Amino acid sequence: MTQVEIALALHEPLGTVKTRMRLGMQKLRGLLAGRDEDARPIGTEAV
Amino acid sequence: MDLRLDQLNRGGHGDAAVYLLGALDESARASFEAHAANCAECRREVALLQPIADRLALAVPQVEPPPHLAASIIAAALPAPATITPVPPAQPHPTWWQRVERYSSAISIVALVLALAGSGYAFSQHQEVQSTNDKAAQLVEILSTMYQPGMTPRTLNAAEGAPQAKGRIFLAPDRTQAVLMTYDLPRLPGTQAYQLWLNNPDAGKRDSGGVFQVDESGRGHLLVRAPQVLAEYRNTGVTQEPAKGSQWPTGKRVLMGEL
Repeated sequence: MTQVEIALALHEPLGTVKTRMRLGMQKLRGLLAGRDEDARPIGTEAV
Repeated sequence: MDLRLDQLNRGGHGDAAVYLLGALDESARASFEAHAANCAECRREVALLQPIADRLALAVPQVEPPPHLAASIIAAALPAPATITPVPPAQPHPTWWQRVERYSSAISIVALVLALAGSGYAFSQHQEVQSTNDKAAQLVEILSTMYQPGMTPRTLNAAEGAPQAKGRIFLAPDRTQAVLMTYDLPRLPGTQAYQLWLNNPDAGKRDSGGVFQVDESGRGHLLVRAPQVLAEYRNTGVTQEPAKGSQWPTGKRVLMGEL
C-alpha cells in the first residue's frame, strides 16, 4: 500500500503516517542492533 | 487528492523510511530519489535503514516452494521433447540482436531463478535459503552451460529398460561439461538413481557423467561432468543404479545414443 492509501484506510493525516513509519523503522533498528549485539560471539566485541 | 495531501505525498526530505518501505507512489518515489541525490542527510538515512527494510522481507510467514519448482523452470525453458530435431547446420555469425533473442529465454529464466533466490520468497531458515540458493546456482550453471557457443544437441533413444523414454544431451566436443535432459523416465525410489555413462569402445573406456533423479512427470536433468573432453567419447547411455551411483553399469539400460 502507498502512504496515501494507508492514511485513507486508517483515517489518519498523511503526516502522521509518515512519522509513524519513520519512528517505527528507527525503533526497529535500535531493537535489532541490540539483538545483534547480544548474539555476537564472545571475543568479537569492538575494541 | 486535496492540495495538502498532494503536497505531502510528493516525496522529499525525510521520506527515507516511507521510500524504503515501498509506500511512495511512482511520482513520489522519483521525486524522493531526485531530492536524495542532492541531500546527504536523506542518503545517510536510507543507508542506515536499508538493512532494516531488507530484514523485514523475512519477517512475514514463510512458504516453502514446491519441490518440483526447479525442474519446472528448466522444463519451461526448453523446447517440447516430442519434436526432437537433427542438429541444424552451422549458422553465419549472428548479429548482437539475434544473439540477445537467442538467449533471451535463458536470461529471463536465470533472472527468475535469481529473483526467487534473493527475494525471501519462501525461507524461514538460513539453511533453507542456502539450499535454494544452491539450487539456483546449479540451474544457472546448467543454463549457462547449455547456451554456450558451439553447444549442439544429440538425441538419446529409449532402451529396453524404459521403452517410452526420450533424452537429449547438449554438448560441445572440446568441453568436459554437457547438459542432459530426459523425459518419460519412470520415477525411482530414493535408494535408486539414473546414471549417465560416456563410452569409447575403441579405447576400452567408460566414465560416469553423473547421477540424477526424475520428477513426478518423468523429467530429469543433469549437468554432466566428464573427466575428459567429450570428443574422447563415442556414445552414451543411461542405466538404473543405486542412489550414489556405480563404478560400472549394473542396472537396466534406459537410454542410449551416439555422441
